[in-house]
Amino acid sequence: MLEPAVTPSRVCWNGLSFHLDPGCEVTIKNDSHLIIEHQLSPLAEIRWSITGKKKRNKNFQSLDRDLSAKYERLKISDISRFQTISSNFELASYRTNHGEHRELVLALQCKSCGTNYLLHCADSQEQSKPIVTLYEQLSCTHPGTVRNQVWQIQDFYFLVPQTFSLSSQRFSPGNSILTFTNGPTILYYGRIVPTLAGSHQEDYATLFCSLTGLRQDQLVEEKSTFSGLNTPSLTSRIATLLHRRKIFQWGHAQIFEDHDRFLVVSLQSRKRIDTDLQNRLSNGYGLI
Amino acid sequence: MGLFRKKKPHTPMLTREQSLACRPFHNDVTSWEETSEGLIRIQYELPLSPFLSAIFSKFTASQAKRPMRTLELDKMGSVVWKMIDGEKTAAEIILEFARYNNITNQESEQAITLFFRQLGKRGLIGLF
Repeated sequence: MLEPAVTPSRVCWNGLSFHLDPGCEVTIKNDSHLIIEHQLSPLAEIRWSITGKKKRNKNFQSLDRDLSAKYERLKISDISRFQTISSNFELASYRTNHGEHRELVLALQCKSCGTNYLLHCADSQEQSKPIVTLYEQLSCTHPGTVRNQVWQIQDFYFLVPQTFSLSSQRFSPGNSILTFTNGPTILYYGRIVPTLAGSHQEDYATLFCSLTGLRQDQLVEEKSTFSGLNTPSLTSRIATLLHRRKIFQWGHAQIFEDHDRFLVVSLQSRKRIDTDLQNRLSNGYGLI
Repeated sequence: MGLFRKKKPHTPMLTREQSLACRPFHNDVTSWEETSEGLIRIQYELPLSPFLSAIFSKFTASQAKRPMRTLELDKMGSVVWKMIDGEKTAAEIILEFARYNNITNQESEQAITLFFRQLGKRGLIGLF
């Protein structure tokens, strides 16, 4: 039997960060939609609009008008337990009834960057504590700040350079893959649970190669890390550029035997991969 | 052809909360044993559709045994199979499996629901 998992208490995901009570977990629906659960029962749901995306961010007054038409508007005094909200947000609260379930809807707008957040949570006293914990520590990590660059989800953290944006995510049992893009450059992060994915220690090199696209002979194996770089020759570069393939590949992986984890970071690009970026990425991820 | 096809009766789908509250149990008609490596080996009757079942009974003696199949579960599957006791709910099994394997509840839920679905299709477990 393995060591008990360290409960991840902090979540940083696409510009939003908050704390969770022990026993709470996050389910990622997409880049701007999270569901917070406590022991498999849903607690709260957060959606937000990402600034800088094509969809225009509504101003807070029009958002408030839309929500007031749908839900019952509450005064701030009605939700005294949420008084600890950071002064960085503008807040409006509503109540809604879905059959037996009473729901609280909180509309928040970051005063600095104007991002709108919509937090749906159960309006019951029993579930109040974890929601208040979440709410107290809720912060918007503005694009361009250093804080925004380190993401933290499940039980691992990783660095996302400013110019990269999340394009897809896949969370299957024991196999989480996140893809970020910056023009033609693709950055992958992988979190593998070897026992659940059916991999064994001797398969790590093969697993690394299949995730990064590198060949076995390009691999450098150290104590508990793998790394590899593919820099093709000029002739093969010209040939593959005609097919618009991403020929420069770099990868780095760490094995955490005690925790049964295998973390991988990989870059694929048409341009030469900067050594500084390689160093930053290889030092910028790990297990919490 | 669609016009003449019989409409399937609408069976209400269980919500996530309802299915997590269900208690899985081993089907009595299956027999299982633990191998020396600690893996579970299950012997079960091959489930046949009513049409195939009718053909089978027509061309074989009435006392003839149905075709049998053997399924050997992997290490993870064997752990979950042993957790199924008719007492624990699906949610309890999911949480226990997550703790045992040091994974998140979400991962455990995905893995176990898929496993239950596969066992259910073969008629090896039931839910109540």
